[in-house]
Amino acid sequence: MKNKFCAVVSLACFVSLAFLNLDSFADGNDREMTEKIILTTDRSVYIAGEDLFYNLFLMDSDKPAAYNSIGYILIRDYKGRIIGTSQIKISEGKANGAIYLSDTLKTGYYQVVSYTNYMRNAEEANYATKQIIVANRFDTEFSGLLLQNQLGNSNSSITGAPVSSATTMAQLADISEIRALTDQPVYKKRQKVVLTIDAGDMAGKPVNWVISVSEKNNYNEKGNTPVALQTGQAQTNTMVNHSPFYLAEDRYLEFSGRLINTQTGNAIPKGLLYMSSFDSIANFQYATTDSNGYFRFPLSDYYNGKDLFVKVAKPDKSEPFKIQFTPKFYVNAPFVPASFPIDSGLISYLVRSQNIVRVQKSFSQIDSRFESYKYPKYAQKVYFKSNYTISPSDYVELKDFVEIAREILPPYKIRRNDNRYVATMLNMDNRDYTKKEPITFVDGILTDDVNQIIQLGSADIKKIDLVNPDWIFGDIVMPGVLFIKTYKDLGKSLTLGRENYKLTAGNFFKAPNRTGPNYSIIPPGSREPDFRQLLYWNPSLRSKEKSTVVEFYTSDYEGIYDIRVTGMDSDGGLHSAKTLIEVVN
Amino acid sequence: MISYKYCQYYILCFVLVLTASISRGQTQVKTSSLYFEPPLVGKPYARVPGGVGTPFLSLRWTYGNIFLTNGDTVKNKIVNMDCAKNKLVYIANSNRMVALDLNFVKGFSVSTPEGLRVFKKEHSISLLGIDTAEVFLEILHEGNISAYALRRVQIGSNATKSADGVSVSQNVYTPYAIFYIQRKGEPYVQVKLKRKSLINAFPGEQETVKQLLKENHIRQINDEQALVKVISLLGARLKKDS
Repeated sequence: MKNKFCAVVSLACFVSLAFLNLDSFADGNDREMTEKIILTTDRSVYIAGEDLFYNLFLMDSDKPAAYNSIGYILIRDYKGRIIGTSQIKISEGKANGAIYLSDTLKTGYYQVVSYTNYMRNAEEANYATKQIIVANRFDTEFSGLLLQNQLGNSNSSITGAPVSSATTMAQLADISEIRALTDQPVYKKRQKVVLTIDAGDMAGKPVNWVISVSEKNNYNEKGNTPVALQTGQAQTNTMVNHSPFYLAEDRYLEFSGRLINTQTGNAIPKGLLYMSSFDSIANFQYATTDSNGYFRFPLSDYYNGKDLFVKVAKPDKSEPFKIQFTPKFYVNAPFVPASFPIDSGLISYLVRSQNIVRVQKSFSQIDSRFESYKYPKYAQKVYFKSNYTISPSDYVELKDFVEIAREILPPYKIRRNDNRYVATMLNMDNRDYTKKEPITFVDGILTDDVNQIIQLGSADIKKIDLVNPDWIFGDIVMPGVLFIKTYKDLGKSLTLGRENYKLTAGNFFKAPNRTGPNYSIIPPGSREPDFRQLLYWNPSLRSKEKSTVVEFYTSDYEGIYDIRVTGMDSDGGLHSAKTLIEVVN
Repeated sequence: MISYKYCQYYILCFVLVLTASISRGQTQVKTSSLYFEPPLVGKPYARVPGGVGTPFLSLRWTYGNIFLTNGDTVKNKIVNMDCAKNKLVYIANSNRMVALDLNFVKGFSVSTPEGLRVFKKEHSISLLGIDTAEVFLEILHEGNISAYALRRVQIGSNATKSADGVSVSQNVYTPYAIFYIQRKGEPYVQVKLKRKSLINAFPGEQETVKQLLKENHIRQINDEQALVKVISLLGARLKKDS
């Protein structure tokens, strides 16, 4: 009996271990992309100069993602040119933001594409996409729509993807029992609308609601889901990269690239790269390249929107090299716009919208600048306290850094050697001068050599920090650190060698909800025109009640408006409801 | 007919397989996340050779975690503390010994055969009354009354020994500890491993402390274990009374 027991327990353990190590046994061949984005936009037709508002639901294995991530959203034209980008932090499987559609965009079909860094390991067919129309404000012919429309129909080799190949409202209706109800069907201008979302059987379950109320138009009706629930219908969801190349960004943003030899085109393994950014403190990161020449820097919120300076420390200048940075916004597959019948209804809608946007622009009612998120920031400081700090303004004026070093920086020594300056620093511990030049930062930017700071005098420098030689930062041993803070941010104008690269890190911007004015507190005599076609956009409503009530006001613009409600419950279930209201004089 | 004992086996199998399946389902994100080990910053550490005893917290260098002030944790580093010079030392990948810049460190933990030992950084002025440096307190017990130990090593006068007729001097390292107790939101109070010292540390509840010691038949407080036991009992009693 005892032996049988042992045998059964052993078998159970084996089965458990087999399950635990399934990924490693399979070597990733069976690995599937489990992440999926559901992209929702406020409308489908825009005028150049407006904002496009979006909402993302991130799902993992058909459940709302329980981890944080970063969503990337880009808009591209039919030639594949990216005309707008946005990156947004996804928390609790949800995020929302906006992209400004430039005033200069040509009339035509555009595609909104969304993905996470991790999703880039699978085929692009997994990305969430939505086709939209953007009309130029001054276009009267709308030939961009017709031309592409004809192209899509005439050339048999080009098969336009369905505008909405993913989950449709009708499909959703099968699984949804929610209802969107208004207090009345017809409203006057500037009248309050009370919208009630009846969650039906969903009552008690937390649901994230996305509500959009915009003028009804023909494009929405002809096959486009007004709220595009594009689930990225993948032909296959097998991972292209079996061991993920693009890593999940749950805490840091991945900033990566490849170091290659420009003559041979081969990867340079074991390369060493430094990264710093403009700041009032010495900040530093380093990365080494793998056997294929790839490197990655993790970017915390400290780097949001900052200029990044990447310097190749290894190999040295004798080997020709270049860095190929991995773009964050990139889609390889062509965008073939789906054909769509252009009728007088759509044209008249576009003309009306152009006029309205002109008025709104005149009254500055459209924001094109969004406030950036203020996340807690922790710089990767090189040192906390310096061994030696001086302010040159405390001393008589000195014309250049050679004089400064000689007169007021005793541990730092500069000497001239064949028309070049060489620096060394006294090691406070062993009382000896270093053989190598100290690492120098000017306004946070790592510089090449001391020759670049020679011209800086007392009038330029606010503060100088010296840190003892043999300062250890991770695996890097620094032969001392010299940090210079200038008055006029001269670090930005340093002449950096060809082994230096300058890039700008992306930032995260807030997009306020478009809930419209509250006419209960605005004086009735207000003369500012209100021709909003988007009456209400609220992607951040969370509720577990049976009835959720929202209120908004109609504008001065008469017409029929679509009310579209989309929700995702805590189990990943999608729900949708739709109704219409009319605004009359 | 399946017997009761076989039922047990099947249930056991089912639980193990279920556990494994759940574990597998949770691995995907973890294994593919962008991993970043924050760099540890400091200076090279030069160890003084020889001597009687050790200046370190323990003779055995063990793995531990280092908690940084920015909230990050650097895991599985070989860590030890030079209690004589008040330096936290770790062995870098290059086998170099590095004395960490304590401004970046909030605390650390080390795994020892006796269990996990956790240390938190505190400024010396609140403990010793002198503004000299930041020190590490070992957390012996944490609750509404907490007990801590400040581990120090005294470098004694040189001992001499004769080797091949040559007189050699060497350091003698003598470890000692200073104990502190702290009620929530109140300053540290230094205590000795003595019954009277502990009673005096609670001027408002001396009778309660005496009664507690009597009830639990604790006549003497000679070592750390006894101190921790009394502090935990006292914490529970005072919490109950309040």
